[in-house]
Amino acid sequence: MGKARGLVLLFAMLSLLAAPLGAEAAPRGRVVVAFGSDTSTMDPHMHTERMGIIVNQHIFDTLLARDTKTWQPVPHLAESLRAVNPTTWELKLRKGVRFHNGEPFNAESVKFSFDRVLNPDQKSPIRGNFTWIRSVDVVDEHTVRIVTHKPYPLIHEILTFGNFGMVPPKYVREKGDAHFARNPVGTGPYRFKEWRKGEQLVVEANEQYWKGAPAIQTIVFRVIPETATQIAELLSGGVDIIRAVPPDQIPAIKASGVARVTATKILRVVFLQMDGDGRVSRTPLTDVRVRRAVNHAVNVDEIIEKVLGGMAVRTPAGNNPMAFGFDPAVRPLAYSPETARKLLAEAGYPNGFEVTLNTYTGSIVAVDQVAQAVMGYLGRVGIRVKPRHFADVGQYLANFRGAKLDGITMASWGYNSVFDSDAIYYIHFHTGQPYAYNTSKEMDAWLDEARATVDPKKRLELYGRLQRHLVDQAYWVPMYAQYTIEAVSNKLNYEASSDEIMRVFAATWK
Amino acid sequence: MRAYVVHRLLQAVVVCLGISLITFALLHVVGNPVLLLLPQDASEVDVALLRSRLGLDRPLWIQYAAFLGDAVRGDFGRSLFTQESALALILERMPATLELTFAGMLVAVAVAIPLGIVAAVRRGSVTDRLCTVGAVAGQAMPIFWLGIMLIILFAVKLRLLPASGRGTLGHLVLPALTLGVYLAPLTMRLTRSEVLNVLTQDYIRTARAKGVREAVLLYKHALRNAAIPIVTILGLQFGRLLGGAVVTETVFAWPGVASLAVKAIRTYDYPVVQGAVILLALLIVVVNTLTDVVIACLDPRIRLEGGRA
Repeated sequence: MGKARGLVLLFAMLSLLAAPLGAEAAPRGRVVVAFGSDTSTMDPHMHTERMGIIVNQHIFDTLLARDTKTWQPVPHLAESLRAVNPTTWELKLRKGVRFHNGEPFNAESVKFSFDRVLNPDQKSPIRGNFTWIRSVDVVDEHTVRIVTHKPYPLIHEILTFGNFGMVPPKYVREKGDAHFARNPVGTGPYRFKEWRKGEQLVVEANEQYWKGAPAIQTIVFRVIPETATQIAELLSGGVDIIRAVPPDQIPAIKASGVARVTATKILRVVFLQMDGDGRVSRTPLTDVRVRRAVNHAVNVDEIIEKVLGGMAVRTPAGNNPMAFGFDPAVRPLAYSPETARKLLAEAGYPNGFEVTLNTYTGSIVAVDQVAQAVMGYLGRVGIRVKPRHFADVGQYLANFRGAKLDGITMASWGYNSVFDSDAIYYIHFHTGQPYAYNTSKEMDAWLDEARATVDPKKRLELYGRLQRHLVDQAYWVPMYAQYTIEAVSNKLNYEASSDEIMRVFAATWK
Repeated sequence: MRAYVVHRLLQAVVVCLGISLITFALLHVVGNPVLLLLPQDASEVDVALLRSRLGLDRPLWIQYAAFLGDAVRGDFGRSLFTQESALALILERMPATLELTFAGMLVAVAVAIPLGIVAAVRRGSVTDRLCTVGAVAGQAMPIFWLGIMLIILFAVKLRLLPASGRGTLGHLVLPALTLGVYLAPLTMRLTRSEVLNVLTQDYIRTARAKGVREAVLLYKHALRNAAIPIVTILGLQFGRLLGGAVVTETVFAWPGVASLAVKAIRTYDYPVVQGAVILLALLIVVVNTLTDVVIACLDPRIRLEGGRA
């Protein structure tokens, strides 16, 4: 198992990089973070909400964490992860870690956390991410083995999962789930203090944190639904960090002198999906020449520049450059309205055709303006767009999954926070998947093979092949990866993260 | 009087039934909470399982009957998202909403009634005109915009008051002011016209001729008579006040029932929406009934007729 040794070595090296949390001095001061909505529970295993995940990350630790430069998984509560054979992984746990209530963190806590999520009666909404596990076995106090049904290459990704915090078995068993949901106890840099639902949640520095005490004594997560109010609070000093800043507010914040903007690329990608299979109805889009024409017609670079103020990264084959398997050699089809018109004429549509463009509210920044731009570009080569907008994400997803989105769909995908090509391509291009509107035997074979091997080189090769194929077949108009735009008080050293976890625990005072 | 109150309470039951039916129908026709509850890549099996777990695979009328059966026992079910009792979630936030609406009402009354009286007494004066202009402006201003402007002025520029949240009395000032300004114009204009109306009555002229002092005339004779329609309007406006509270709570991050309901509507959290709507409707009915009782106390004629009924 030379590969596995390589992984261990890589982990050991990276763990040296994982610096302590900053402050040598005692934690001090209070930082207020504004959220647009409240979290429903503090039990990390029982929700999938972004705000909840952010707060959970302050109270709980995951087995692996992300390096904040490369965004690759690095050791955290697990000091190493080693493949014993293709379906058995061994975790060595950090020693001397304790939960906030004094309970020791050990192999039993890990097994309990896995078993809890996997137990169907627990009804954990993240259970689906763990069904590749056959069993979790305690080897000794600080060693755990995970046996998988099939070789599972995404294990490192899943163990960084923001929802999968390690929970204290004794506390959870004694107090029960309902109590735990309101009074969380973890091993993280902050201990839970108080939660007034719909109002605010307060955490206090854990001075005994195994990575060293954080710099800030108190963090308050406040619920402020209205963006304008959040900005007013930031500018009047009532709040120190806000997220989801609308691009048009950036100049006002920059000019305020009290706060600055921190933005970085995130996993969520935006693309135009075409119904190439004719899954909903046979439109001209089932012809590869027409799909290529659509690709040549849309000037993605101009949308990024003009509509998004440069706050996006081009994705040549729809894949995020931060995802494992991204192929930097792949180039998108170039913007060329002439080529588009020529291809349309070749395909038998010299006067263009009419097609639906589905859009939805939620997750896509400036969705209306981007959709307007796309319609304009398509109109210029003769493709007349019938817009169909979903104001409701639930409705949009139901239609997407129910094979009811005909024509073109301006879609986005957040990878479920898994930095791997499998997390976007399998679900959109494998036969039988609810989101797949473009499928083939060939792609099925590549996707299945990449999912069944733990050899990174082999996987890179397969995803490279797939990405070249996707550009050639023009199933999508790959567009861009979005940015998260946050604003932070000038008193703090803090940067936005590409995995959208707000690492306030790592912030320091200036 | 007692018969009257009982009658009103019976009406309230019918109102709540109607409201619950409408809310239920609207939510179930447009919404799909299941996909919001699951990760995006959930399988069709997961979707079907969750639907049946939440009981959403049953025919609509059975779901409604089950809901009603529980609701009459005070059980609105559990939030689809937090699994907590919907009633507990709502009651937890009720004090904040009551605090805000009554403070808003207080501001409205404190502003509208004195100004209305002054405008009526000095009819045609500059004060009167200013009051009218102010009332029109106040009525035309979107409450959302007003809230943001007050925040920018008092919190960002002058730094006198907190921009949002609940806690100290200072936190209450801006939202109460916003809601008060929203409610005041109608009340002020009504006060003005009612006082004017009363002041031209024969008995006032008689009293004046008898040499009753102007202040006594105004406060004892005129205002008591003018108060009846004003109290009526205030009671009727309570519903509008709760509507205004939805926006005010959102703008000021005020942790009340109205903003809870809005969030629940967005996520199709049926039990919370239904519980909140029914409790708020009940509140309106109670306030309106109380208003009627107050009017009866103010006006012996109504009291007597009510007694006969």
